[in-house]
Amino acid sequence: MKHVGYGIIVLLALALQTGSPGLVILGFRPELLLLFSLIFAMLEQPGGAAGFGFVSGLLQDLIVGQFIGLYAGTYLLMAILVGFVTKRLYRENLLVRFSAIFVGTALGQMLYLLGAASFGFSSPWSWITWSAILGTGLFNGLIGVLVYRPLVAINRHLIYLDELLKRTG
Amino acid sequence: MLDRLLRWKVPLIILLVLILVGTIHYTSVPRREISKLEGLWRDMLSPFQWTVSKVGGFFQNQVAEINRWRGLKERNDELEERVVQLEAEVFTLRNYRRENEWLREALDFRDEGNHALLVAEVIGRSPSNWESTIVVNKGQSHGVVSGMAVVTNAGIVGTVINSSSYTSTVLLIVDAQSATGGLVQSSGDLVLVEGGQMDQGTLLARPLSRDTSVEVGDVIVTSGLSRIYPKNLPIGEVVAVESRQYDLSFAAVVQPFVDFTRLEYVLIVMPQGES
Repeated sequence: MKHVGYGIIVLLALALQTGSPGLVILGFRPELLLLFSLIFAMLEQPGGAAGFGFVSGLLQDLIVGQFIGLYAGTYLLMAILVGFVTKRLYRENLLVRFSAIFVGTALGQMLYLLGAASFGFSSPWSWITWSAILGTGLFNGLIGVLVYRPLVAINRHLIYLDELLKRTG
Repeated sequence: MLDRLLRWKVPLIILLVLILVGTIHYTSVPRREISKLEGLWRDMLSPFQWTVSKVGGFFQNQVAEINRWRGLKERNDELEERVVQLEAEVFTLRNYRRENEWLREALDFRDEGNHALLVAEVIGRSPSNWESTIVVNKGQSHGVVSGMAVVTNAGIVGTVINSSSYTSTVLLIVDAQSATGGLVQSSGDLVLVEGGQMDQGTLLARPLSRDTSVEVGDVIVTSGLSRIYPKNLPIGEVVAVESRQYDLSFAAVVQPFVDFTRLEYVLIVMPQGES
């Protein structure tokens, strides 16, 4: 049940992100799948979060059609990193949540660009690139603060349904 | 326990990394064909993208409608003035057209503007800030293949880079990987129009010869040399000319005529006889 729920979340996030005109704030496109990967990294065990990051990144890769595997690898690494760091911090604090998502998103974007550059993608590291990295990080952070609690509630509900199904067969 | 885990996990991680590096390397160059898995996933996602597109479009139209109503009075005055100007211009253009047709016939020119066009609806966009692509609801089953030009009545949009059965991905001219042959309409000088200005949505036109002259206000059109775009399709207008510090050359900033943020329908240029 939990996996079905996660699947629906990924599908909706991807449709929202890629559906035209899409979710664009001040010219920047928040990375919803990376955002959900980071939030689940704060909620789940490292293995589960890494799996979620990898699968959602791979689904995004299949839509982009170039450098297939790069988003998967990036999201997986970011989920592990943010999960590892936030396990040692007080995640209920708004600032901690915002900072974790902001840093995770910005690092993820840089990692993706570095990875793509090493396979021939030419992206000048100009102020436009930096503003896109910081802008996406900022919007992801703000959206993350807003959707964290509803996602915690959904996650709890899905875990409860899983338990219920296990016990009732 | 830890030993056993490490014994299995380390080779598994190495294998995963090798597979990822392999797929990234294999897909790092443009492909004319996409895999069955990609096609299936894109076709599966397209109804959801279409739904989001419709809902998003509805809200966008409402906002645009409200903004439109605000400036209606001023706009009306402007338009009345413009109608008078345009009527005079149409009269002059009709004369030119008749002259042009006569000259074409005289020179036995082929009418390159007469292309079969396929209307497609924009249902999706690239998921991140690093690619500028759109997804349209026409694919291989409609005869769309990679390399076809995509235009609107305002100007050129981009090129089809790959297609699944029912969708196609279009690389927009504002993407960093896009380069289009253009010419300055006023002088006929050739330029290379490149994307890569990201959120600014502008293009860079680089001259192909030392004598090229470009000025603010010049219109850039397709040169027709690339064999992708038909000749003389509008690309954009020069809004600034930047000289390079260590170079005698310059680059012109071009504002595309197409508003890529509000694309709803596009036209795919099909080979003659297919539409």
